[in-house]
Amino acid sequence: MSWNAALPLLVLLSSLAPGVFIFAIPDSFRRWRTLLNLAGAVLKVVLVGVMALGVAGGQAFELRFPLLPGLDLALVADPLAMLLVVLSSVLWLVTTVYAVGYLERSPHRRRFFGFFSICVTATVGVAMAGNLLTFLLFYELLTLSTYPLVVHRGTEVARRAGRVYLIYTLTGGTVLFGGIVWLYVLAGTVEFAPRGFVSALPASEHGSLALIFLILVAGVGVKAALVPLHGWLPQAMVAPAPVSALLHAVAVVKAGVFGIVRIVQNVYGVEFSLALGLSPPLAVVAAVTIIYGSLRALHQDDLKRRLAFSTVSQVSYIALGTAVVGPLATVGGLVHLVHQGLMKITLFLCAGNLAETLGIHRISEMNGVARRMPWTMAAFAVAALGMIGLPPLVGFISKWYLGLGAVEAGENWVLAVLVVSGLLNGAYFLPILYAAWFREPPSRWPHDLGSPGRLETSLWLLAPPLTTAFLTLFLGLLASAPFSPLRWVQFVGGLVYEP
Amino acid sequence: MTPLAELLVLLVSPAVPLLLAMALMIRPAAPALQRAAPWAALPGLATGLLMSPGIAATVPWVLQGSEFGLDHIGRTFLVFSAAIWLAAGIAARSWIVERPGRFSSYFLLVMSGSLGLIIARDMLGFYLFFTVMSFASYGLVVHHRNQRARYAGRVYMTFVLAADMMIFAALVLIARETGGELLFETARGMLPSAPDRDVALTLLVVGFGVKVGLLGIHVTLPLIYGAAPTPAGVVLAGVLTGAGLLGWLRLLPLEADVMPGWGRLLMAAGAGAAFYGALVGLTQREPRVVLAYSSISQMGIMTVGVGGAVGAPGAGGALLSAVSLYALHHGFAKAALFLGAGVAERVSRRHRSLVGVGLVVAALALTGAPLTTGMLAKETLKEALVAAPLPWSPALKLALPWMSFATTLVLARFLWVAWPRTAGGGRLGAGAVVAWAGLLVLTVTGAWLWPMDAAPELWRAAVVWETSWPVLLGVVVSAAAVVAARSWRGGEITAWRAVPPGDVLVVMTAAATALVRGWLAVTRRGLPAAGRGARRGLRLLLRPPWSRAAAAAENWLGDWPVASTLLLGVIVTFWLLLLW
Repeated sequence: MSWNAALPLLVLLSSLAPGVFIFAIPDSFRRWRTLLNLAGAVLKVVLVGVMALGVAGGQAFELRFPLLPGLDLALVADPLAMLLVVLSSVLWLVTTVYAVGYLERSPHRRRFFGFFSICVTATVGVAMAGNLLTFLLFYELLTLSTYPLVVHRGTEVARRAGRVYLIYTLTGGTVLFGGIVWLYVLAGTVEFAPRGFVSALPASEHGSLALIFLILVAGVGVKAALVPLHGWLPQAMVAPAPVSALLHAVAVVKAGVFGIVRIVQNVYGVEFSLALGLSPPLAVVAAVTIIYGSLRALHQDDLKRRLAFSTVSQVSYIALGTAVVGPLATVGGLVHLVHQGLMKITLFLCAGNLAETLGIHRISEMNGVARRMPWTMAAFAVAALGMIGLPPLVGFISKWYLGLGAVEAGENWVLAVLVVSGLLNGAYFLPILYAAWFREPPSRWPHDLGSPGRLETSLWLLAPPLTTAFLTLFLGLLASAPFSPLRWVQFVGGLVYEP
Repeated sequence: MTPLAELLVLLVSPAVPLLLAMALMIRPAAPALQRAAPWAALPGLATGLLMSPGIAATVPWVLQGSEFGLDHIGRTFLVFSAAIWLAAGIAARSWIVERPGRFSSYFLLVMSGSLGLIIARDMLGFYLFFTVMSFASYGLVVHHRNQRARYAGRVYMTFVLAADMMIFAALVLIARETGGELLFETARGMLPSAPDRDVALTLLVVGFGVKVGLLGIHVTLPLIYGAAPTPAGVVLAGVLTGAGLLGWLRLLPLEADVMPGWGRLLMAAGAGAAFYGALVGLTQREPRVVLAYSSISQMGIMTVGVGGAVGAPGAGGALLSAVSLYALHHGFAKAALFLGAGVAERVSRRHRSLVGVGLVVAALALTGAPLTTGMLAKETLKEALVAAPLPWSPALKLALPWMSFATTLVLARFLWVAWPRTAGGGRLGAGAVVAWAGLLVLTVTGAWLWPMDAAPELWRAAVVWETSWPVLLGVVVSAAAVVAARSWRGGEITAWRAVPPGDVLVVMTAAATALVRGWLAVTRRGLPAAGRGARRGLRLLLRPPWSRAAAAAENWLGDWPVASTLLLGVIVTFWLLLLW
């Protein structure tokens, strides 16, 4: 097996192997588990870095196992895959550090960290899937590996949320499977192609293709939390903070919306989707989701629930960018894949810090909390302002490209949606910042654990959100630097259009 | 200079306050850094004074590639803004006793934004600094943490957010037209012929108009001037209005093409604000709120100039420098008046009359009386306007003196309510006095010293008369009003009903409240109810009447032997199919 074929497998194994070993380590072996976790996460970042440099240099990394006649299990590190691979491996490292600080005092650690590793493996698999079937395999693996994480606390609410999560996602997976089978029967292949592969089919099949598109998007739309398929997401926020962070920023929701991107770009082709009249309805659904999620977020007092509805809204920026046809909109949608991840993981990690350090779960309990935890709330503020789309934060870069792409395509209404969404984001994030920074703190917090040393909370909990908040600022301000996600996405976006 | 040196010289003006603000997060160092805060404006001032226009620098990695530079207008804005920041900072050191660290952080952030946007040469750089300035200024507005500050802050933030989104949308529309090119020159050149021109212009005019105090959306000014602590008010009044104006000057097509409709609209709005502001200002009882309405009125006069430049072919250049000179003059005078109002509240009995003299001097400058900087600014603007081939030039020539008259009235009102009568409360630090003296000196001399391409011919009898009579008339009318009030109402001139600060805001709030109520009814109750309905339907679909039979079948399937047999069957069938 050549290096170029082995690397994708190694990237998968770098999180799968630690996961398997962790299952075997007793709960009390804290050091060993932490070492394994971190070693795996660091190794993965290194391997992914090597692979990314290779892909940037034009190398191909591809691994295939024949699964059925004419159907391979394919791992292909194309530029689009690298976007999600880099994001998930970097954020996995961040979240692992956080999770070690967050969960090392609670029971069932090996179960948690084991599934946590498998979950990331599945996400990377989803990213590198070279065809729809491989995509589906890892997609289902993701569902199954996140279920134990969602119900980790074992409470009645958690189990209920887990049930709802399973019902939604398994149904979505089944629908997706049906669509894939139908497409395979029709087209004879489900291999992703840079500009899609179904446009070669005769015009008589266009009706079926449109229906298949609907089925596929409905299937992945469950995880992407498109309205009205989003119901599971706000409930799943009962999961521990690192899980929520990963769920909302990298793993599940991203896998869903990544599926939409793959279907539109690499199965149907951006221009062919438009020719079939499929993109405009998708854009409308995405726009409705954006507005609806924000409207629902306005009234949530539970911090994580508000963040969950915010995810519903923000993730659809990616779907919107995918559905609006034009290089700039594509760039805007794809770059938000990374940008939303950075911002949302920051928000959830900060919410976790508040809960873990002070027992704060509700926004109405957050008065003056910035005085007690200034660094956490500074990170939170950066991410929240980024969500509104204020320069120079990454959210602005996404919004700028989405807006430009929309007017380029003549879809000025999308610009209006972005403006309204920005206003609504302001309406549900700014009051939180106001309460935290400008109100008087209460005489005592709900459940103050105190903090070791001079820091406001443990360094394990503080460093991860500060890192991602810094990236939110840094990658937004230096959006045109050669190492920025924007540059990479511009490279990816160039591939999906006819030259 | 090398490109790197030019870049450093330019970026030092926003970077120093920004870095200082960030360093304030480090607690042990905070007290020392706080003392340094006022001087953060010095690099910007030095750049503005010492550098000649024309230096420029590119930072390719920032946003979409940002360009910075200094032109004549930028230099004007940089010098007066930095000078006012310096004065406000010095005054703040003794003035702010509550949470001085917090105040310094926001003060420095706003400073960074307000100085940075001046040196930006492209749309995104400008937008970046403008946003930093707008959002950080919230911290200054609510510094006092009382009911009033909170209310002002809430209204201000709503407008800031809406304005920010509007500017964003406008920039997107313009950038589409320029093909992604972001330099101001390109944007101005493309805008008149753009298909979405009117939408983009509306968004720009309104978006920046929130800061300028454009008629109709001027409502935040009286609230924030009234709520903010005095040193913060000095910059809100002296610098931030100018930032909005600069947004217009940078992006509205002022030189090249002609858009008579937009020109007329802006001129009408400006003239309306000039009189409306003065009229409402007359009814106010608080010095700082009177000043806010005076600002609305003064910015109205500048808006007339901007409208003239938009509407008149070829007059843009002269009008542009006239408006920026006016902004410089107004910035200094308004800052001096604002700080003066604060000084008057605190001054001891002994120095009252001295403070009174200072207030009168600054007020006279703003009215445009002969020998003052106001005369120079007004005459420069007037000459440029009259020279412009506008259909309204004669009417303007007639209206401008009456605007001075209105200014005189409102400032007389200000002097009346601000005059140091009672013994001062609070401590008046030396810093505040020095800062105020400095601002007064700048008010009296600033605009005279500022280099202009073409100075108007001022020392003709006609000009002197035209600048004198409105002021004289204003003084006479004000004096008569005082006398009349004294004799008719027992000297209580403040007894008339004040229009609530923010005037039309009352209407806006009522409308917005109704709108939000409606929305809440939909989103808080309607949407979840719809969701519940959908879920109920789904449940019915999933558990239809035949569900019991299904459950029985499920039970049967759940039997392990049955399941394993079936599974085996499925596998064998699948295998056979594959082979076949």
